Amino acid sequence: MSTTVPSTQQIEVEETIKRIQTHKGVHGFVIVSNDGSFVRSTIDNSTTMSLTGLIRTLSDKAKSCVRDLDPQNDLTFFRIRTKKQEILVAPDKDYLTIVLQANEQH
Amino acid sequence: MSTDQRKRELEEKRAKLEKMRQEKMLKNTPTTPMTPGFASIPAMTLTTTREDADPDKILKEVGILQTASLPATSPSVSPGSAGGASASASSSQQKRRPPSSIALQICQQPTATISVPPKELVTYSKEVQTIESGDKDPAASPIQHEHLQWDDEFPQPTAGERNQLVYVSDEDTMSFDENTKPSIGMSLASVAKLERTRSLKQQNKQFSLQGQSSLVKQELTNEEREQIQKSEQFQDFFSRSARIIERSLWESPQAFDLFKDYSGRESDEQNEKMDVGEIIKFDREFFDERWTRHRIVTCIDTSTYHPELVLASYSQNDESTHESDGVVLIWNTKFKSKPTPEYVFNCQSWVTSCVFSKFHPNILLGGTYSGQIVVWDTRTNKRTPVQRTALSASSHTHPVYCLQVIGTQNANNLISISNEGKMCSWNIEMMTQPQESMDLAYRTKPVAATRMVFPGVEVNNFVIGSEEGQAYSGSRHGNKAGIQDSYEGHFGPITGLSCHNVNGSVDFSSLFLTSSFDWSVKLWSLKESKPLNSFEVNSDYVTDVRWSPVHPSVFLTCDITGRFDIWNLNHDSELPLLSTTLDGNVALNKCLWSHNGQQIILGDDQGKLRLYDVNEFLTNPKQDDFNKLSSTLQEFKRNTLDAFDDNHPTSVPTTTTAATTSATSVSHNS
Repeated sequence: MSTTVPSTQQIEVEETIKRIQTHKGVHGFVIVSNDGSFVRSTIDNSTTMSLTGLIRTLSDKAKSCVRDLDPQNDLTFFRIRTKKQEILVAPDKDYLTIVLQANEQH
Repeated sequence: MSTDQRKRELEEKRAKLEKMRQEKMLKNTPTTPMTPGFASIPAMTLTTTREDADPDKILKEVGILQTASLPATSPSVSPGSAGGASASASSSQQKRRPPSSIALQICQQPTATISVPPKELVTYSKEVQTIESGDKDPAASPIQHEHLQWDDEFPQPTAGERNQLVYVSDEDTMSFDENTKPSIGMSLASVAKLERTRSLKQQNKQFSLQGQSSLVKQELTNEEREQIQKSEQFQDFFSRSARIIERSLWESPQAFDLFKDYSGRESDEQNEKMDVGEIIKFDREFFDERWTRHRIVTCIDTSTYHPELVLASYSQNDESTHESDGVVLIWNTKFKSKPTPEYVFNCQSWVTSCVFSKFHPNILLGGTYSGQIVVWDTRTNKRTPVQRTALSASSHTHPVYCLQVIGTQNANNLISISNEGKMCSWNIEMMTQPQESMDLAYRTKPVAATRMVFPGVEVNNFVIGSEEGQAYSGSRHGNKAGIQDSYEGHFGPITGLSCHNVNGSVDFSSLFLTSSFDWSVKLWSLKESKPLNSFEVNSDYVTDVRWSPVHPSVFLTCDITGRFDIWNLNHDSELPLLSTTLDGNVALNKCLWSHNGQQIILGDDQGKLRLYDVNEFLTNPKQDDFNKLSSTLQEFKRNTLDAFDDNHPTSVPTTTTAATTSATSVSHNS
């Protein structure tokens, strides 16, 4: 890959993250690698650590659940709807994306 | 080992030494006759014949009491002295080698007595340093861990341990000084030990910490993060993940309704159903600040595999030169609020036409202004084309204004036309050169083709619209390959061409519509060289025309004043069913029906795609719509005949009669 390609992709990544971040209600965006180290986070370290630790275990559990039900199946996305906020989780092979979105206020 | 025992041992050894010394004395006298001279210069003897030197004597010279030194060094001293006695050496042959170096030091000692202790210090701290250096990066060397574990088992420093430590330093060739100055040696050893244990403790602590952290979380440095973010693996992941996240974020208003609790409050559900009288309803628009602003929509297509996907190509951006000229975006009509395109593709030259490959869900094809045809693939994480044709005389050298994939799943080709009058057919798997190329010419005059359509599932016959205003029909193969007929009627370049493609009880596949810069839209039959009808309600360039894919008598036109009309020939052939003019001084350039005819997509000159939902009655034709259209067409023919008769009352040309007969045959069929 030439040197220019990743840089434009880099810009693309930044733009996308910015777009997601500025979406209404979004107050957190985290990318964690599967070994537990976070690659990107827009929230403070301690919150990120506790969040990623908990979400990862949940995601692993959900993944194994899905796979146990059907070995050919795999978990791609889940969102946790809570009273206060919504947690969007997109697990992948090597990384995991977490987005926190506050509920719409009525 | 108790001190008493050791003392006893030492006593024994001392006695033995004494004995050896005496033997030596005896031996020396007969073998070396030079003894008197030898004895007169003791310093020289010491440096040259070390092995023969009496260690005790030397020690005394240095000023160290023999008794004090002996306890610690007994093992090293005894072989050293034995070395001199060759007779007794047989038993301690192996021990001889290491002590030789020690003896060497013994000789050096008198010359540099004072300088030794500091040297010693340095050496010790060196050992400590090695541990500390490992300290900084304990994970780097596995040896460190071994060392650590081994040392970890040691109990608190005791006398025995101290001894051992001293012995260890013996191996580091410092035995003499320790022996001679045991107090220093001891203290040094204990200091070293202390420091070592401390560092080991630190190491231990760090190690355990690390072990903990590897379980919980590893703090990454910024460089590492950057590295990860640059990796292709991450890019790949990100494009996937970001798409999901964005979709779910933007589309959450719909999802939100799932959780809405209506028990406590009044339902405020909106009536999403279209009013009965409403023909079209605005759905959404597609616009991207970066990619479509200041660009004209040059072509629109919809996917056969994923009907919700809309492909649009855009012209170059004159306002900003640093962005790439060619932009092709894929939008998703299912999403009502997601502002970003699903995919972005680029190429160097601006894209004049684009299509989804009809038989492959992932392949996109684009014709460019430079004459190249480019292929993109949604499976790759790249925006640039995966394939492109070479710019050569054998293919196109002018803008490629129209592309169409024809054939079947197993045998299909891409047909492209450029406006220098060339038609090429390509194998999508092999785009290096065209399979076939044909020069389009009508009676030796080259045709500057702007539009091309293969009606229905046709692979041989085609219709072409040209810059001169004529439409042509022709075939790719056979005796008379090339353009055969011309349809003259327009006075300006043809901008839109659409063939009737609704299957029903009556076959209308010979019908086609053209739009032109001459402000008119004309309806033709392939069988007649004169238009069946001309629709002249627009007051500026008409830029596109499209038959509905589901209703036989409905078509859509758009012009550069921002006006778009939906016509239903069965309803009215003079005026459109619905005429809408967009606000904001926009010029519409392209229009398209979705495959099911339930939506229309309009592309303008400001980079916007507008999506409208179409009322059901235009998407569900009734059976008699086909018959009605037949009678409408007959009416058109009668009108043209009348008009012709008015103009030429004396002569009835053969073409017109042919037209009449064909029209009657059509009506008979119905």
